[in-house]
Amino acid sequence: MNNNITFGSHEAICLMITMISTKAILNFPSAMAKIGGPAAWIVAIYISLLVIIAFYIVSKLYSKFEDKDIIDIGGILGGKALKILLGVLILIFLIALLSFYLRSFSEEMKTMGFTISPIGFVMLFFVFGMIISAYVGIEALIRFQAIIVPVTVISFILFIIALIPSMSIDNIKPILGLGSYNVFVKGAVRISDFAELIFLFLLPPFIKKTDVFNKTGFIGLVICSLVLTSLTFSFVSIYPYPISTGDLLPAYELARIIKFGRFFERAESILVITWATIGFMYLSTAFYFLLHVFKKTFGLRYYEPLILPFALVIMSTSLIPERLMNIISLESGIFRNFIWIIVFILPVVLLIVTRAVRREKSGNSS
Amino acid sequence: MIFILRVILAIILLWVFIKTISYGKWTWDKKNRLGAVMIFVVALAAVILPIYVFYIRY
Repeated sequence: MNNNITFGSHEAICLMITMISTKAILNFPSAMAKIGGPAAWIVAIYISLLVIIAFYIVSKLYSKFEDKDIIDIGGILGGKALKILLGVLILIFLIALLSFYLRSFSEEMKTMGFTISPIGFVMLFFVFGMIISAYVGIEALIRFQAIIVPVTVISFILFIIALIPSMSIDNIKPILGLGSYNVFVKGAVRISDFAELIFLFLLPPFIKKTDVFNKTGFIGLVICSLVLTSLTFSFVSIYPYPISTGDLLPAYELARIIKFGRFFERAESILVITWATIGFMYLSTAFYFLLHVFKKTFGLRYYEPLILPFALVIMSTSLIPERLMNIISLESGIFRNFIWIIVFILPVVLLIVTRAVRREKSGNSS
Repeated sequence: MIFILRVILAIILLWVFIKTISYGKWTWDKKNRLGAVMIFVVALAAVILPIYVFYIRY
């Protein structure tokens, strides 16, 4: 069973970095620019702080539920019915997330290297990766990430350093961009950009100890915040508002401008490999957890027979929107505006009620 | 070429459907009724969605 697999804080932090920071190379910077304009980087810092505060509250509430994930806690509170309801909500979230990101990564790869290939063909590479990694299991996936993520973070730092000569402080003025209402009120809803935090709430059976859970959450969130903020800052300081709002693949556009003399140009061709690896890690991890949650919610003995049907469902769902623009609007305009209710409000309410019920029960028994 | 690809896809879909249904039947026999029903739902979705996307849409 999966619960025999245990990993430490380093592996869990790498997993969190993969799951949350990945959107930095997709549409996160332009989504921030749409809200805050030149102050997109302030929106990124603001939502990062909100998420760290939200996680602090959750971590305090979680302290009494060592090695229990959010589905187990639902089971403790409301029995099988609540466990299934929570599981189904998480499954819907994961299917939507996988469909959005499978399409986004495939479109990105198509734009960068496979311009005349059909999108379904490019997508197959990621789908094969997801299928193989699901068969291999979570342990191999986690160990792989523990090696690759530090390398990716270093290459990201070099990427940002290479962009410094192109940055202009004038582009980030006025400091509050489109106004404090946009930055602090509209921006608050974008806390959903950290919705992948839900993977941390599914990790306790694997990481067992509360202190590892807390360490993973705080360190992971701080690193993710730095990655997202630095890339957003680079983007808006290079591309002035409103140009910054129209870009579908900001990191790709940034990579294109990196140039050292006449000999080092077109750095995006090196980054294609890094981004394909990041995409593979993100999709494989999310796909594994989709199967894991399905198995756990419905009390199944194996998840392996469900790998192929779920891969077909995800691939087909991601191909339903006709254009990349449609999927970005769906993800950015609808999904990310509401998902914070499932990821942040629901666990907090659940943990508070479960703790209250437990306290009442222990009070009655004594 | 497209015809051949469609035939290959149809074979894959049929194979995946039969394999998933057989897992659902095994789960049903183990008295996990809800789990079995959900597996049947996934098996159906794994056939209907690709048919819609690859045969009807394109």
